[in-house]
Amino acid sequence: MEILLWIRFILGTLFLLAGMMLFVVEIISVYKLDYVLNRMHAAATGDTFGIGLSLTGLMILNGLNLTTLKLLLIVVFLWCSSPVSSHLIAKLEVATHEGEDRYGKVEK
Amino acid sequence: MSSGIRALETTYHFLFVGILIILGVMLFLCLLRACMGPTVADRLVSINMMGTMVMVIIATLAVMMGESYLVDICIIYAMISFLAVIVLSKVIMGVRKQEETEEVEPEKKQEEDIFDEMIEQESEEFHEKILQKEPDGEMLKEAFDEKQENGEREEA
Repeated sequence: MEILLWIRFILGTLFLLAGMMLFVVEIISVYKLDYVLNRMHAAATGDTFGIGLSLTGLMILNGLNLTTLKLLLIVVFLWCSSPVSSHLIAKLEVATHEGEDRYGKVEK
Repeated sequence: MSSGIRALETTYHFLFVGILIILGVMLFLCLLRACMGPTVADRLVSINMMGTMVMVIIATLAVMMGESYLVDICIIYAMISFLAVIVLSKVIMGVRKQEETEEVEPEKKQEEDIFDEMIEQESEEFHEKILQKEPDGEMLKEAFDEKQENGEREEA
């Protein structure tokens, strides 16, 4: 019985640490890349995949509850909403043309 | 048996505290990126990232403390941060579009005036054609004018 608890702990920790690693990669790439549309790719990847992995880890650690279902709801909601907000920010960047003089014109 | 479970609990505690510390440091780095960002879109991207990290922090706290209501707060936070990004980007895009149209507006007005003149000319030509085709067209026109005058009097 105790072994099963430890196995659950190890599995959940692996998922959680994978999500943390994705967040760290996201931060590094946001600092390293030099244009908004490139940074946005890294940020959207971290938002969808990183939060999916870390909340899956939390779900495994929590066990079968109503809380687990709510965490699943958060993941599904974020998978729908994060691409939409990234798309809107990209449209904002194309409409304002603030980086045009340095990085060339963005094709509409 | 009990000592093993106690060891598991302490390991859980250290895991959650470590993850919260890592997330706090990364949240601060995101805030720094939002201050540095040269463009508006840059700041919005980093604010979106901050929202995601705060959501993970709240979910971790909910599992760590065993409180179910914190997850509800997390759902509401997700919805509000999504709404904030949408509203901010739409408002900034609307302001930029308004500035562009104000710059272009005088040319547009000239175009509209030319278009109105063309329409008036065409209608006059059409009227003349009708008068030429029908011999008693002028009579009809006079009768129409009288009718209109009568109608205006009645309305008055």
